[in-house]
Amino acid sequence: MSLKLGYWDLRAMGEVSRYLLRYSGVDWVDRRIPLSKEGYTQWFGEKYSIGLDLPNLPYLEDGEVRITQSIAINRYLARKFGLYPSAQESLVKCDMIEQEAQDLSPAAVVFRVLFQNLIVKKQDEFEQGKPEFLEKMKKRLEMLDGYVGSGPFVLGDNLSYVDFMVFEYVSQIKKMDPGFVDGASNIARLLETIHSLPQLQPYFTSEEFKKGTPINPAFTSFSG
Amino acid sequence: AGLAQQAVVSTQSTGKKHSLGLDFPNLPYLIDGDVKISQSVAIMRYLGRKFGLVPSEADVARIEVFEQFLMDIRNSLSKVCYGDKEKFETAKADFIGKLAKQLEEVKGFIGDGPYAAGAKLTYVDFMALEFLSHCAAFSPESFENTAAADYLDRIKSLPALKNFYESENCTHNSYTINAPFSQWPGWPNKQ
Repeated sequence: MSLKLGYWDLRAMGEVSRYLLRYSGVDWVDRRIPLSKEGYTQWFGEKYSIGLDLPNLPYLEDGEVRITQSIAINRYLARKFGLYPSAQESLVKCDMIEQEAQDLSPAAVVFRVLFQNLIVKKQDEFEQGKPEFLEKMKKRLEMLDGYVGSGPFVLGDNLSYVDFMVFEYVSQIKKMDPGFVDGASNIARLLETIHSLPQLQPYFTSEEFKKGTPINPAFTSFSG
Repeated sequence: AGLAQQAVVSTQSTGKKHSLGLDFPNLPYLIDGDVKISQSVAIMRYLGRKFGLVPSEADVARIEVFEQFLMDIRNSLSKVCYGDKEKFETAKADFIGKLAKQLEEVKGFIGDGPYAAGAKLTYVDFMALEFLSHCAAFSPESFENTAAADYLDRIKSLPALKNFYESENCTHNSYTINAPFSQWPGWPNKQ
């Protein structure tokens, strides 16, 4: 099997790529590295010897192609599966929305200047910071909601990989705040649309989905 | 993404921010006729396409990995520089500790170069120039006698850039790297 995604046994930065692969219907290996002593030993033992230019997790293997960086992987899979816009005018919109969606990711919060690693703070600090975080995220969501409009998809008529990014990262925040999309009716509709895609039904009815995967590691204050 | 949010909050009035016709008001923004965009990565890729600074189709995935690798480094440095004052020295030491390995990876990635995509100059070379220059200002020792420093020198010696650096009004002589209120603004060296 020549198509493999390797990532921790988490959602965090890898789940979007998993959705793209599930959507495609192709055979692929969902390699999950456990967050345990064994898992760390395994990964750090092989990290520099599996043909990756800039080793990291997640990584993607597709025949001879070996890449890292979740956004690069998402764009690669999008091009492979017809989920990347082709019209020149759409490219810049796609890039902008990709970055806006990325900014919604609680995992990307670790890089967020304003929220200095919120999810790795102690529980009480996290609870203190959470309201302000959610308030700022709601403002971003509002802008995205306005942009999406009647859609049906983020970029209009055509489904693209950025729809999966919005779907996954908004879903992650909803775990933190179930009412997060109240008042963002276009985004709420988009989430429903993605959730109802026929290509994703095998996944949503699977044991794996029912079992669930944590969003972040257990040592964080929001493992979801 | 989110590189200059703090600056937006403190320097832009709400009115100005929302009157520019941006779907997602933020800094930096770019206006090019009817094109009005925000998000630094979207802007860099737009300008890359506009000026022909893009990789061949075969090289796209590899170059995009490097693009994101460089964003990771810039974001990590931001986290150190905009973090808590009490944690700065530790955070700085951690960052510098990781930098040596990352510069080795840059060396391996660029190889003989001269640029990231070999003979072809692309937008990621400019990202490397700027973000790695921030790191070089932050930790000059880390860059001594490195292939990464040579790579940056090659880009800096492009005629248009050379003119910029040597110009009387070169903004790098007056602008800080990070916001003046950060733990490490990166004030330009007084010439």
